[in-house]
Amino acid sequence: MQRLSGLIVTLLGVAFLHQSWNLNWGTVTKLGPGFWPSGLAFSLIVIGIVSALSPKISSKYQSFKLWSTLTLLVTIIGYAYLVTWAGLILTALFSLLTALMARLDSVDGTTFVIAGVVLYSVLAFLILLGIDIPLWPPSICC
Amino acid sequence: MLLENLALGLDTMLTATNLTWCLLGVTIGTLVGVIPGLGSMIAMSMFLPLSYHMDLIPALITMAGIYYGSQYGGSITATLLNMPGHPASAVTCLDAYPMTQQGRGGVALATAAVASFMGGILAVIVMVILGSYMTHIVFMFGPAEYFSVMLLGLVAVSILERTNLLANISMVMLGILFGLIGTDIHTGQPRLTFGIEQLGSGIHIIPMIMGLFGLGEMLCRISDYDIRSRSTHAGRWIPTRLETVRAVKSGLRGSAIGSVFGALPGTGCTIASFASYMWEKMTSRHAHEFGRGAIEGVAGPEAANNAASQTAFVPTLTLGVPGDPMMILIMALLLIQGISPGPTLMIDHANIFWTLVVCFVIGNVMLLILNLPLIKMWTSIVNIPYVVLYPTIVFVMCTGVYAVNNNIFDIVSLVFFGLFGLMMRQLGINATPFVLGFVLGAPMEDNLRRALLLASYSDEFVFTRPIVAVTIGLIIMLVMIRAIFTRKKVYAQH
Repeated sequence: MQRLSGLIVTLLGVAFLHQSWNLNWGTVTKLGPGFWPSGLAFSLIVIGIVSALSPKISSKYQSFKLWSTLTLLVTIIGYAYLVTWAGLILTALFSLLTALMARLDSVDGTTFVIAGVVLYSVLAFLILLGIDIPLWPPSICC
Repeated sequence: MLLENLALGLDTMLTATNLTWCLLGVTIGTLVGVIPGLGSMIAMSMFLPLSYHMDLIPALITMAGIYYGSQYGGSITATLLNMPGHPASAVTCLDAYPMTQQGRGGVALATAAVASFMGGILAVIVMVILGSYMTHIVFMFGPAEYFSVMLLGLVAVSILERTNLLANISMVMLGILFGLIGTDIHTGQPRLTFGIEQLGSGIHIIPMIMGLFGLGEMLCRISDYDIRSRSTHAGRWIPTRLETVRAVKSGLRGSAIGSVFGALPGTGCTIASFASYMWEKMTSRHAHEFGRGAIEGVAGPEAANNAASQTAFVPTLTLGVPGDPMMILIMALLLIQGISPGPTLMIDHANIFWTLVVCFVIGNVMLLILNLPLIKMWTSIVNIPYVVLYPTIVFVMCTGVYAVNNNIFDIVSLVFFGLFGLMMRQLGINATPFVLGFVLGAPMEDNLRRALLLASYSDEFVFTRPIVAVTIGLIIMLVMIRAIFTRKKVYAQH
């Protein structure tokens, strides 16, 4: 695990160094925008390499299920896709149903939950906080 | 003179109308703070247009109530669900959430409430005693002092964590680099944007924290959760005598740290709560408990957070220098009402300052009365079955993150940091150094550049300035302590 984290840190360091390489480093008294990021990225690469080559330190591995993780990610990406044009209510329906699918054994009492959360969302976000999210898709309401 | 000023504040504050506005402010603040991602910024922004139609004092009282009410509200979800309501609560997650997992969620919430109260009251005392001296203390801090204090915080978080030292240092550096993404404030040049246009304005802290702590935790553990009812029980809410002693001591230290950091422009509640956490960890005899449910890790940062939120009013009102975005809103409210904050405010409009002082005391008492009896209700959240809780959290978290800027890119950031948080958990890496690096990275670079520039115009050697010299001495001491402990450990192993 430590080898892998060292490798990831090194790769991230290389990516940041590549991004900051062409920025002006400035002088000692007048640092440019590239000095601090390049210095940090270079140090990150060194630490990443040292970490990857160091003696192994055991760390506790936490298991996770791919299905649940992917379903939650689909829920959030779907939310981002829908919220600007489908309106809050349809987005809420999609998000709640897909989030429930993350645990297929949990789909029970869904209607009650969805009705409650949609009502809460309309009250909290639209009425109380006045956030600019359409309630329904513009093609339906206008 | 002091008593006369306090009497003036009491006279203005103790009317049925102003008390009602204060209660309304702290209630709205708590309710908005509880929603993950929505903090004081959103609530205060929404309230600002309404203040046009109100008189100055009621508007200021309500705005202040929303501000410190949401500071407490944010710690409720941080404690129970590992989802900080606002950035300053992120540090509360580190020990309060493990306490909830151990069945001590009630104690964590009660500690947070009482520590916030302590922080609030002690900050008021500091404001009253040092009101006029605060401006002098503020002027003692130049860019070099800010840089050295921030460096101390980063060194402390890297080397005091007893896990992998190299991983901690690399996470601090990575956090700083992520914090630097955006536009360079000195030259206006975009940097580290990887060709992504939306990164030009940087990564917002809300999606970063929500992703790293909230979504990361959910992605990692969703398959473990009990579907019908959660196995975690919030348990009792009254701490034991030993817990009380430990919490009170760290609450007092946190209040002092928060009072100082709040008064320094450009620091704010988030840095204050991290500073308190670091101090507790550095000085505690129970350092091994940190990250696993140490009560000091809840009391100190919560007291610091609330104290800072109140002393932050001092530079805003007396210098006209707002320390964080929320103070900019307070300043905007004053300007809308035709009041210019600055050194003459304490003379020309003394009633504003002293009414706020009394408002803080009454508001904090209201918060305590409002929240202690509700602890049972809040802790019942952890027993809500999965079928109700987690889909709701995912949806509310997305809406909260989206609502910050009405920007889809924030949700993309949420997913990115959620996956990053998942990866960190898989690799056994602690997220705290990363978050602290992210928070401190940009201001540290800014202060270093300004300090070096100022030094080039002066004969004074930066490292001989008293605060800088003391801080650097502390950094060297910490590194030596860590080196000695590591050497002893290696000898013991052999």
